[in-house]
Amino acid sequence: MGATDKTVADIEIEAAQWLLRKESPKWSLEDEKELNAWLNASTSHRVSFIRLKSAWQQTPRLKRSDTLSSQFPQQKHSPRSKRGIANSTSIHRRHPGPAAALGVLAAMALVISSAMLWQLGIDRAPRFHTPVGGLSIIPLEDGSVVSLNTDSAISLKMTSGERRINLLRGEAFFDVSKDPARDFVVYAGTRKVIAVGTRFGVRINHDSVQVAVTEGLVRIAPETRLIDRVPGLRKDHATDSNHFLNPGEVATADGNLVKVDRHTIGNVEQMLGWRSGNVLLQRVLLKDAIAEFNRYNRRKLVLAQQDLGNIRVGGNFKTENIDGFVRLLEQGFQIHASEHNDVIVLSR
Amino acid sequence: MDDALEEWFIREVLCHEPALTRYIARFRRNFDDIQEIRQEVYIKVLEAADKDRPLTPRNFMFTVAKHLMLDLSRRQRVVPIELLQDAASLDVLVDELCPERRAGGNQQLDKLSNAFDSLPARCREVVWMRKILDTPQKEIAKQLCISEGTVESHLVRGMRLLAQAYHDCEFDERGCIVIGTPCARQEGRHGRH
Repeated sequence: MGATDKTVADIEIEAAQWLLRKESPKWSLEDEKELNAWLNASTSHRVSFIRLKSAWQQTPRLKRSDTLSSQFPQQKHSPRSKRGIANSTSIHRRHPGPAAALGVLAAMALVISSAMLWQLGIDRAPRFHTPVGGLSIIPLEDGSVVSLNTDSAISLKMTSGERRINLLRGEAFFDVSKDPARDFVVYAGTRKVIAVGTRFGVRINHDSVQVAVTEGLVRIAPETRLIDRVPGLRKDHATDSNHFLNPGEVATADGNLVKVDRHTIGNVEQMLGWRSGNVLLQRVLLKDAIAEFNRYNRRKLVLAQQDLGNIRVGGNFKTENIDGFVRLLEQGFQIHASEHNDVIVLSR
Repeated sequence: MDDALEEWFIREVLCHEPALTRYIARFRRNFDDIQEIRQEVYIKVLEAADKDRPLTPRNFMFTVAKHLMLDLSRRQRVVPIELLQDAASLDVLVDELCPERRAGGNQQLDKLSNAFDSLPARCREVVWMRKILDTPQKEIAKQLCISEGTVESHLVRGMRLLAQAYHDCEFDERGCIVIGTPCARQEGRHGRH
């Protein structure tokens, strides 16, 4: 490693400061010499400098062509303009940002700088998804952070009154930044989870929604608008109470019923171990363990005999470590595994 | 070190950052670790290229990465189960990871635009004023009623986030942009990302 104990982050900060200094009109020959000395001190310095510079020096290209600039005057702050530009987007992003309306205008073969559209204050509801085996960290503008687990999807709508997340599919963890003026609300299935300055996870299963809290307090309320639309769910059932969840508590909301289990916070953190790439199996049935591994991997585990699925298994595994799990089954339970075309068949 | 080497590095090595990051992410979930290892790969490639320009930069970079991962696994007392000791498991189908997709002029601007979009609001505003409107830092501070120190903080942060989003960004099969490699990022809210 390098001669010093500096982290890449430390070196990047130094490189960024050098790049800023170099842009100042007071840049002198002396400064140039100092910069060269710093660059020569370690190749790591040079790498970070090149990496930052290559993106930074291109940013002026975001200044758009004359046709657009003349229509949209430069302003210091983004105005609330309501232009009718088509709102379709074909860009999947993992970070929130202003609109990128590439509808009609893209057809005109202009590269629309979304930076331009940001200046127009165009709103949209950003959507994020992860592939199977994926894990994404999405920082929000209010300082909250959303962690998105495998094969999951959310959409965001941050307004002045509410910070709203729709969990469309899968599982996410929310590290919510305190904002007394706006509730942080996660809509999932027939429920909404309301929080102010907390840390909690939400998971959509086939027929239920699970909420696990590690810090702070959350309130689970029925999302009545959705319930109205679901045939067979009567309104009086839907007015079941709000449920408050404390750290260590895990609620499973299934149709009309909400069941709350109490665990230690450490235990809940382990259940949310996917954030560090781990899956915890706590003496679960093999068929459930298999279902869990299959969420994270393209290679799927399948049971040849259904009664095998009732064996109890446990352990803490890396989510992608199907091979390790299978090896343990072979050694510990005399289960035989054969793989073909991304399917691993377990039999005995 | 000359400009030509720098140009070469950007054009032939940095362009593979998404694939390299994904490769390292197979063995380390934590972003800080991934970043350190990635930097080490870049350092070795740059130093080697300074003496003797490799003919196939991409293959060379992955060879360096593979040896580095093997080295790290040997140095660890406990070998994580996912780092099989059989070196063949680290063999990467290089063609599979790096499809021939050079970013043409338009694609580069798309990447840049998306990187810019991904900046936090305040940061983006300051970067916009500095790089697009060419406002001096002192003026920005005055107009936004913040200190010059804060302006510099925003610019430093913006520069780093831009580089991260710009380099670790690629187009998928449908031509859609995918920014960032899935991995766990252990940053505090006031963290230095």
